Amino acid sequence: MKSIFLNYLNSMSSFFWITAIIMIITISIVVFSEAYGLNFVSTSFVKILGKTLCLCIVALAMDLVWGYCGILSLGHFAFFGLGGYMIGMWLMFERTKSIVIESTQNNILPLTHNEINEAIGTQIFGVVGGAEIPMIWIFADTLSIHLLLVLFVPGILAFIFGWLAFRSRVNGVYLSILTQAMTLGLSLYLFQNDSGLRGNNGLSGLQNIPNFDNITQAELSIWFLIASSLTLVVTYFICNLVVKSKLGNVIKGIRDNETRIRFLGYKVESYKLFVFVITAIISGIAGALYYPQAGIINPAELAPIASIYLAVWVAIGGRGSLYGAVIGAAFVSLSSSYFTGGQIPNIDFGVFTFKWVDWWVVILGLSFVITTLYAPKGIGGLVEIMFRKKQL
Amino acid sequence: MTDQDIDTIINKHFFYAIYDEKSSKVINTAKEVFNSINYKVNFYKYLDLILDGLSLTSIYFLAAIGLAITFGVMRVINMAHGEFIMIGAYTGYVIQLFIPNHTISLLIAFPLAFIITFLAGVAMERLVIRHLYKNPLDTLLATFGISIALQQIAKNIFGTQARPLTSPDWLDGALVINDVLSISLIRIAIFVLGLTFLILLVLVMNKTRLGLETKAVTQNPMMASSMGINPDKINMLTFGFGSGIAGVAGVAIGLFSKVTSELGSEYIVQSFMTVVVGGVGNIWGMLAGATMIGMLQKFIEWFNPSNTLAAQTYMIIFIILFIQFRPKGIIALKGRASED
Repeated sequence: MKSIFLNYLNSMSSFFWITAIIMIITISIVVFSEAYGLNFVSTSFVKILGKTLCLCIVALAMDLVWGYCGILSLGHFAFFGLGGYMIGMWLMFERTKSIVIESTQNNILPLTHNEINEAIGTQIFGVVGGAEIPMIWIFADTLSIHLLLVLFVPGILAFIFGWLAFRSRVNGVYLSILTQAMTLGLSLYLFQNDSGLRGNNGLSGLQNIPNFDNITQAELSIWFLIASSLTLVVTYFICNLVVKSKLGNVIKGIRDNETRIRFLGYKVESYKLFVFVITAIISGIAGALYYPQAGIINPAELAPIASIYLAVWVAIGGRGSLYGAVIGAAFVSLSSSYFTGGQIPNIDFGVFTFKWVDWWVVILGLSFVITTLYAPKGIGGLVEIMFRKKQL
Repeated sequence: MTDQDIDTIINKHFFYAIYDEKSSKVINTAKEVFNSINYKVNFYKYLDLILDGLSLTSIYFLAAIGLAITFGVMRVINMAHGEFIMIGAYTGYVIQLFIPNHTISLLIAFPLAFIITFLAGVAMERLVIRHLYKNPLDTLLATFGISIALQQIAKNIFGTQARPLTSPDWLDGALVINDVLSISLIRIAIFVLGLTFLILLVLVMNKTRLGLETKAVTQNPMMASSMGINPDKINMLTFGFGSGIAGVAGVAIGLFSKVTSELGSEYIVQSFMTVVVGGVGNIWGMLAGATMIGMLQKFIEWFNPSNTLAAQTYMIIFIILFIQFRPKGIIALKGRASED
């Protein structure tokens, strides 16, 4: 009994480490925060951290689908964006509604339902030359439905796409290209003005949460930070459970030799579809947490390049290990925002000034190359080597 | 004023006349003429649509032709392919800075772009891709790194604003056939260029030693090397050749679109789609793929001309559905070569 428990503990060890680290970071940020603590940490930094945690969540999803199941999906950031759009619709609609009602508070007669909707329509869709509220916004005033949509829209899209692709045994590189095509199609669709989601303007003002007007951004950012870190921990727990279970073994088997698993009698397509859909839903949730912190979402966020970046984060962190994905996403996105934030002084060579903002992407790109060539297991691999040495 | 007065005033005015042609002969002739005009206009409209589709096809073909070699034959996922196109376009721009005559500068730009991107491709193959042949998905990541690095370098050198790559004056006009149908000369030039490339590629792959050895190496490198072929050298040359062609295509693409650092990335997804839809490893398949994608996009656009983005979306959905029925593309390789 004791050994079973120890085994369980051992299989969960990385989960406990990650949880501990995330909790320590979150609690210390809360303690030092502007809103609830000693006012050392600025709100913008809290937001960056919160957003990074969301990126870690989507990286976990990517690691599950790619590192464990071997499907290099170049579409998971599109699911992330879709989740953001779904929550963004509610945020923007309700926010505009409260603004409209507030601005007409001094009118003698209160506005009718139709008048309110018309005013919201002009407010939101004026930029794309419309005043009507499109059909897809029909539930935009109900939070509960939109929370469900955050799960279902990416989930159903992933289900349809995955069902089609896996059924006809599109594999490997072809699947990557097909998912990339899907991502491009989706972002192009959102780019057009009559998609009903404000075209390339996207949805904005998402940082203002309706009905919470008297709460400052500093406080909100802390709330979102806590929500993001809790979601990350829960996601990590679920992913760990999946990976360490029998199901996880089958999934890893599919990655290593799909044909053999099929001949052993497993329905490879169903397993793949399950992983694909679950990870799409996780990505959607992450997006729904991310964009209220970012404040704005537009179709460019869904462009194929974002999904490739996601794959690269996982590769740098180390695919096939869950903590690797978290480390990779956190490391690359934090260092990117640090180096392009303009806080680092430029290096002056006399004839030529080295500007970090200009050259950071070049360094990043080359480091991708070096990682894939010399450290295929990424940062996670290094961690593994360190711990192994300690054990010996 | 009485009703009668009103009537007389109204009657004084002339509102409309009915032309009542009695002769059925005249009516029939008029109808015939009208129909034939209508028929002709429609005919030219469809012809115009097909030509539009054809020129988009040749653009997709040009963008993807380098990939037909690096991805189609060698199975290397080169995400930096778009950046080779970009390098080609910038080469054309830089040469125009030095040589004001557009015709001559273009004639220099084509071979120079080939040489530059050939060397870039060879360097990339030697330094990066050579180590990753066993794992195609890793090549995707590494070449993506190179892609964003090259894009940023271009941005640092040339800035973010679009640079002009002007076509020579004799390509400025249009071939006006009638009021409905006119084809701009640059489109014809692109078409001719695409055709030239196609012929060149088919000749190189089927009639030269390099083509033969490339096929041998991609099908069975061990066997090929025991026959005295050096696979390393062949891989390097083939990859360089594919990259070089992408560079030349870049000069052509730069002629009709703005030269920016994002030029290549606009085409990269479509290029991969072209190769996959057509059938990997087959030049004719790629041609079929480009034709299908180009024509399809123009036909969908035709239903709703104001919305080209939606047309692309529907085209992509169609492609995704199409892949269901022919996962190996329009022209699938059979036999040993088809095994992955």
